[in-house]
Amino acid sequence: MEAQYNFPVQEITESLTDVEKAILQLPLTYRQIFQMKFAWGYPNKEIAEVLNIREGTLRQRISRGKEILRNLLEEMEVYVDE
Amino acid sequence: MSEFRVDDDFLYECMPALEEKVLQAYREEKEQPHEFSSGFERKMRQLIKRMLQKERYGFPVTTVRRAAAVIVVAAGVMAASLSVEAVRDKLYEFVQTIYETYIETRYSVTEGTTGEFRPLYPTYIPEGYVSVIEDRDENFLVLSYEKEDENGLQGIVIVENYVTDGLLVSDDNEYVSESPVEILGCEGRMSRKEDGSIDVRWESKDCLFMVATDTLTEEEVLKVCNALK
Repeated sequence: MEAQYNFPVQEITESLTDVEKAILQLPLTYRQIFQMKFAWGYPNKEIAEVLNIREGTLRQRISRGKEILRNLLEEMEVYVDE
Repeated sequence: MSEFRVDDDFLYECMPALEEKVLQAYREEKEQPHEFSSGFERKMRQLIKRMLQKERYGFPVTTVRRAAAVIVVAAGVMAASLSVEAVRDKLYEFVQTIYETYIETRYSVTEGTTGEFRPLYPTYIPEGYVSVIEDRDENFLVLSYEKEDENGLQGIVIVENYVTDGLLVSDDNEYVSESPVEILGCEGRMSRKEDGSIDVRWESKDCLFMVATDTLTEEEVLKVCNALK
């Protein structure tokens, strides 16, 4: 999967954990949602409003984003599903 | 090889740290000229305004995981005037902790459930305001209205918070003045701040009500309060 960076990732690569590197490899669509929800703490309703999508769609994307991240971590061998 | 699950808790832990690293990289990067579209700017202003409303009025952050976002609920804290009839005993009690800039109140229901939450919607909202947020669950309702004119973005926030066991409310106490008011037969209080904003709080039928606004007059605010029936 090709990453779509929108920030100077090269400058911070050295300080990143494997998990963070995997997150940065997520497609921008999912990473953006993760950022708003899990880093900024925005509620789903507002994220959906800003992105102009339905809350159901948002929940699907969150779920899909987690799935992609899970696969990325497995590929990087830093994840073991319980 | 480490073991973890890719769930909400995991992401709430990871994302803030990553965010900080990314922001740090931005700070170190040379500033680049950029210009957002007017539509984007407007949307961001609205979003920021709403987030400030949340901080100020305790609008519930459903993704309450980060400490910075842990503002549970804001609503009135006052001696209870249970209902217009006021014929039954109060079914809950509360403990208040007073801090420098806010008061925290934790409610505990003393006799099972207090009943059923029946949210009220205003039959009157001043002209020009449009509904922008309606967030409701089984014990909580927030309505937010906004109007934008030459004076900028103005808002009205209505919070209805049904008392349940363990409910925690956080109430700003940096008011310039307060005065008693009567809302639909219930005692309440009107609080004014230096910036001209007004909050009205009262309690009725095991529900804490708050109407907050930054630009309405006292008469207009009370009219909105009395329209919640």
